[in-house]
Formats: sequence, C-alpha cells, structure tokens
Amino acid sequence: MAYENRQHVTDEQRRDFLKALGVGGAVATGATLADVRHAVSGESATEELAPVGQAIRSNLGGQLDSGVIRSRETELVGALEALPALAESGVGEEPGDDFARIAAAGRPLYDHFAEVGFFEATSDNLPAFTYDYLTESVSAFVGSEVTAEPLSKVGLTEQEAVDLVASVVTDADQLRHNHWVVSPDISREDVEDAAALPPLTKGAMGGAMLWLEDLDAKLWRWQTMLTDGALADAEWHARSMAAGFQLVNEGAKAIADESAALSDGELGAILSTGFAMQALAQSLLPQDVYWITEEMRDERRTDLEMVTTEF
Amino acid sequence: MSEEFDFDRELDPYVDAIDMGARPNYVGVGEVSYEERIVQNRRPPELAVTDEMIEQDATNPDSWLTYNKGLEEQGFSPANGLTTDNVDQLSREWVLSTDSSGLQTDPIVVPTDPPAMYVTQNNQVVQCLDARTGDTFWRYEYPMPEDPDYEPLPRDRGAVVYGDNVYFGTAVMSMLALNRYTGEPVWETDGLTEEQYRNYPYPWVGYGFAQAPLAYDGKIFAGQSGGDSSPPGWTYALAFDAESGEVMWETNLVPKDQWIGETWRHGNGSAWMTAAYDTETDTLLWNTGNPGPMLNGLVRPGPNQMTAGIVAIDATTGEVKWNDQMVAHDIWDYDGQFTPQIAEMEVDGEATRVVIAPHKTGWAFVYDIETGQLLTRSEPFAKQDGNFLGMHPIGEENGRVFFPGTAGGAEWSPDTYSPRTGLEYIGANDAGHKAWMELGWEYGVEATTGGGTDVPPGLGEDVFHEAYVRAVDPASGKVVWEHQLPDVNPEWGMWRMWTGGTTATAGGLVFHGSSGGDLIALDDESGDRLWRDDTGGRITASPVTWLDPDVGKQYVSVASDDEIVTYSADVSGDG
Repeated sequence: MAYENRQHVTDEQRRDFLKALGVGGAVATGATLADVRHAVSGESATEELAPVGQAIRSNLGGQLDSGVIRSRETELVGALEALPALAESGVGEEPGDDFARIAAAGRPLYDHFAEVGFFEATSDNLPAFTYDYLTESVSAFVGSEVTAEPLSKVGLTEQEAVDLVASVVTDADQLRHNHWVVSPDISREDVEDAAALPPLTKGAMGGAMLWLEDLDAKLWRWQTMLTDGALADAEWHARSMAAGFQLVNEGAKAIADESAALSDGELGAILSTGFAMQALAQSLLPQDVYWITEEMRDERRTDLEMVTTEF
Repeated sequence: MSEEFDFDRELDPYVDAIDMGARPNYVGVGEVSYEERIVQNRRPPELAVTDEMIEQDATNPDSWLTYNKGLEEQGFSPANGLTTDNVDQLSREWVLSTDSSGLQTDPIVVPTDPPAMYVTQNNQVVQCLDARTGDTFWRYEYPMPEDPDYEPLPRDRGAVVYGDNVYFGTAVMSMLALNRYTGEPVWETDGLTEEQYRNYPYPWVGYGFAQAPLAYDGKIFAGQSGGDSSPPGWTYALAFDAESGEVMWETNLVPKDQWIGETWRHGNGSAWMTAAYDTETDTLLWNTGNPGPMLNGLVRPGPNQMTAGIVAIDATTGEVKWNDQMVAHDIWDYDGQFTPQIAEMEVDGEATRVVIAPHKTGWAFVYDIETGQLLTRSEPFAKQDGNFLGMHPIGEENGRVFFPGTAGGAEWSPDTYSPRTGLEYIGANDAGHKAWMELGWEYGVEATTGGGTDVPPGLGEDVFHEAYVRAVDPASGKVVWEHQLPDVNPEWGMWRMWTGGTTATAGGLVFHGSSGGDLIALDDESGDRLWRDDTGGRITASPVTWLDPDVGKQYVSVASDDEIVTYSADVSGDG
C-alpha cells in the first residue's frame, strides 16, 4: 500500500533543496526523483565519496552475512506494507504493533551489524554530517538510479521520495542542533561516561528502532492529545526511519555480496543518506509527536468529572 | 566507565563490611558509638500500626501515617476542627530546633495519647517526639561512614511507621528498621542490588534513599535516588519484608533492552519520591527521574525508557504493569518529580481510579490506573515560555531564556488533591533560566547550579520569578484560582525561590509553606488567604495536620529550614 500523497516539505524547502543540488529552476515543483536525477549531475559527488565507501568496504570485508541481510529486507517491506494510514484510521482501542513490527524486522540485522563491527566501521569513516557533506551525499544518492531505487520498496510515492531526500538537506541543521556529530569528533573528556557512548551510526539505527518500538504504545496512550497532524507526522517519521533502514540495508548487502552492485562512491552515498534519514527522523519525531505543547495538542476532553465526597 | 566491581582491591573499611552473599548490616560499622547514636528520654505509647490503620489513614482525622497521608497520597486530611471561620486562631504550640538545615521531612503522626511524631533530618537523624509538646521521646543518629571519598546524598524526606517499627532509607542506600518505641535498630538491609555493586563505579557518591518509604501488606517500598550529580548509574525500586528486611523484589527502572548498547549504565531513571498505592489494583504508582547524562541527549539515543515519567508496578511481584514518559528523551531535566495522588474520576459515566501527577513541565497529567492511558492533561499551571520543549541554542551568545527552568513548574514537594472540592492544589513556580549548549559538548546553564539567590543577569532585566498556589480541576484541566505568594522575592533565582507543597483539609482549607518562610492557610474554593505566619525559615516540604481529640486541638506542623514548627488551635467547640 502506497503511503498517501502528502506534502512533507514546503515549496520553499523543495526549491532550496533543488538549488543546493544545482538544478535550480530546471525541475518544476512537484518533481519526481527521476526528474531530479535527470537534472542533477551526481558524478563528481559520487567520486568525492568514493574514499568513504572504499574504507568502509575494506574494514568490513567478509564479515557481513548476506543471508541475514536479505531475510530482513523481506520482513521490513512486509511490515511497511501493513502500516495503516494513521491520520485516516486513527488510533485503535487497544495498543497496536504496526511500528514495532518494523523495528522487529530490523532488530536481528541491527544485532548482526553490532556483532561484526559495522557501526564502528561506518562511524569511523563517515565524515561529520554537515550541511555540505549531506548535500554532497544526497546529490550522489539521487544522481544514481541504483542507490535511489530502494526507496520504492518502502511505499513512498515518487514525490514523497523527493520530500524525504530533500529533508536530509533542508533539515541538515537539525542534526547539528541535536548534537549529531561524527563520533571521532566528540570530545571524550566533556562527555559523561564516554565509554558507553554509542558510535554515531549505531545511535542512528538503534535509536530509530527504539522510537519505533515505543511509538505504538505512545500513540495509544496519548491519543487524547494527538491531532490528525501529529498522527500523520508520526507515520511520516516512522516511514523515514524505515527508509533509512532500507538504504543502510542495501549498502550492507552490497558489501556482503562483494559485488560491484554499488560503486565505492555510491556505497558512501547510500550509507550517508540512510543514516542521516534515521538520525533526522528521530530528531523530528519527538518534536512533532512526543513533545506536545499547548498549541500542538488536540482539544481537551469535556466529558470528565471528578468524584467528590461530602465531609 | 563501569568496570566490573573488583572485590580484590583494597576497600574502605566501611565497604569491606559488605558481604555479597548476605545483604549487609551496617549497624555498628560507623565510628559513632552506640551510646552516642541513641538518646532515650521517654517511651511513646505503644500502638502497633496495622494495615487497617494505614487503609483508614486517609479518612482518619487523628493520624498522618504515610508520607502524604493515606496510601492514595492525596495530602488531604478529613480533620475539620479548623475551618475557614476559625483558622485565624492558630498559634505556635512548639518548635523543635535541630542540627540539620534545609529539612525536607513531612512528619508522621501516630494517634496515641499523646500522639507520637516521627521526623527525619538530612544528617540522618530520626526523632520520635511527643506531638503535643515537641519533647523528644528518643533520638537516633545513623552511623555514617567516615570515608571522605563517600559523600552521601544529604536529603531525607521522611519515615514511615508500620507495626512496632519506624522505617527510613539512609543516604548510603540502606533501609533501616528501628523499634519505634526505643529507637533501637531492628534490621538494616543494603538497598544497592548485586548488579549495581558489580557495575557501579566506586564510590557510589550521590546514591541513596531520599524519599519517605511506603509501608503496607508486610512490605516496605522505596525507590533509589541519585543521578544529577552522581557518577553514572541506573536505579531500582524495591520492596523489603517489613519483618526481616529481606528484599522481596527489585525492579530495574532502566530496562537494558530499551537502551542502546551500554547506555543503560548511566540511565538513572530514579523513582526518587514516595509512591502512591492503589489497593484496588495492587498497584504502586511511582515517579521516574531524568535520564543520564541529564542534558546531553546524543549519548543516549531513543526515548530513554522509563525515565522522566510515571511507572505502575505490581506491588506483590514488582512487575511493571505500564509506564509513560511525560517527556521522552528528556534533555531539560524535566523529570518525574512528583508524589502522585490517586482519586476517582467519572469517565464515560463510570467511576474510574485515576492517578494525578503534577509535572515539572507545568502540566498535571491524569491517567487511568488500570490501563495506563492518559485521560487528560491540564492547561499549564506554571509559566511556559521560550520554546521550552525545543533544542537548546548553540553558543552562549544565542542562549535562550525559557520557562519552566530545570527546577520545574512544580518541584518534589508533595501536593494535594481534595475529594471535598475535586481540585488539585499545586505549589507552582513561574521561574526560568537561560540555557545554551556548546559544540564543545558542554551545556551552559545559568541558575541551574549552585543555588544562586538572584535571578541571573542573563535572564534580562524584565524577567522576574513568581510563586503561586494554583488550584487545578483535573477533569476539566482548568486552573480555577491562583494565589500569589508575596513572601517570595521576585529577584530570587529559581533554586532559591521554588516553593513547597500543599495540604488540604475537610475544613475547607489549603495549607502551604513557601520558600519565603510563610505558612499560610487559603480558602480551598477561592484561594483567599485566611491566615499566615512567618516560620522564620525556608519551607520546601508540605505541612501535616491532625486532630488530637484528647486535648481538643487541631495541629499543623511543618519543617522550616532547621526547625519543626508546630501550630495548634483549640477546636473543642467546633467540628
């Protein structure tokens, strides 16, 4: 089931995104990912990212299990296909498990990644997620048909796929404000209990899974406060996390297969974009769904009454 | 961090006494002699406190047996000797001066003749007093370890009585039972779990029991405290056998599988205030504290279960029934800081047991106890401003003032729900602070450390702090009335100005002790002030009140800095 066609970035953000990729007015608002790909030249960006992909591939040679990765992909796609349009269906009378099923599909893969040092290898070699780096990564990502193709598996329309990658660029500053700094740049002496600090990519994927595991119960528990817009945001951010998951999965699969399915540059692009999507979505999800201010909340119930006693 | 505990290394003599096989007993370990630790003057009247008495505490005007009166922790007394008409007759009956400043204790009162009062001090002293005179029956001083590296958590919010014992949790995380007639130790049990011993960095500075325990059904319940200035750690809620001290269950409040990698090790999440107990569902309702590290969220991705919220625990098994985070992935120190109130609310035409939790964010949350579903959240009872649920700006030059500051729209001081009016009365703080973060990984926060007494200059010349008692209808969510506390200096910083808790009565009164030192009585329906007295010291705890039918008086007592100040009025012709 395709996720309903809803705009998740503003027209201005979309223009900023296209401008950042250097396509200016060549592509009209409402463009598809294919339209962007045809207008952008990602070749040089891909070349820039080649050392990143090469280093990660080199670090992980022979350690990733292709079978584990492929089996999880099927589960993930199945869980995404079953995801209801929350804003339309509302929250059920009992807590659901729609989002937790996405996390469950990913958990064995996450464990496998942790076991073989995938997160350390990616965190050590990915540059800091600055605006410039993410723009470069997304440019390379959309410029290659083979890297962008996995987005079609997560139930996004073409336009929504553009929204998703656009947000990686236009919301890049969000990552900065959320302290998403590449692990080696973190000043250990200033971080309490630095030994327990998870690698950046582990935090991105692991954190996304934890939010997904929590989300069903939260939506059910807080439904009295959540507007349709908050439910739509919850679904969008969850799907963004899953999309990021799918991209990382594709990257890992290419490494495990030891094939040339992805070039080194494409590998760097798909992993950077995928992890950034996960990091970004888990930064935005609490802001839009969990940290509900008075202005954001649904109307208060009026049918409640305290039971009082005469003394 | 967290290396495995090395049992072979040279240990401090105090810690050497720990026997991992049998939970240790510290009594006799300290350097203070037994004779110096217990002073026995008189013996209070004997009366074993039963489950039935605890169940009836909420409806008994003569007792105050649990922290916030009654298992429901409503903070409401049915005592009606004092009313809106005669409360101005209150006058000082006695004052107990102690050697411990900043008292946070809510006195316990056992209805004997004379009534026996139990108070705790931050310096780990328990006193049993004649509640009519303030005279000391006995005094017990806990033998604190002499290790200079071990700085205990210097807070204690009270004790609880059960059977013939009085129980209090110590600053070094042990639960202690004293004979409540003599002050002599009966048992002591270490409250650190074996897994904590094996994983906590030593010394465990800052971890202890600060809350008043809760007693019922043969058990003593307490949650561990620590976190803000402690080394990294995580916490448990525990139940002890009231007779033997054996740990009956321990519940981890930072579930490992819901944290990334080893980040649970610094998860904190402490249930640092006294729980409420719903006997109908055998459920304990506890607050949960902030995640750790307190302000840096990057090192702990995810919601950080079960921190900064409320947790419902099966009182018999310790199993978590449900939990909810008021602030998932908290990065502002908006932890769960409350002792919740249990009440009844009509939901879909049915009387439903609910739990009310006034939270630091300035909202009161109301949950269905059985399902854990949020029924409603009040409108703000404290000032909210400055994108307070937004990320901290980068750089001091961009620092932003926001309300509530980390001291919260309400602090830990227990509040009250009146079943007479159906209103929740909250000690509310309109106080903020300025915060930012540096990409060098340090947060800059003015007025969050050091207990500054002035509004920091960074907040701007037009920023002032105000404190109130605000009445909230938990059902409609409306703030029904407010009473500003005039003795709170608007130029005080938030750590100096946050005000105490509230206590409502069947006489139509709300008592409140403020940070300015005033104990006041308000009309519970209008918020009009009917009486006040300057106690002379800062009040952070809540007042307690009881009727003493043998002398025809109603008493009101409150901890004020280093004193217990007690008032009374002759009500023999009233109520």
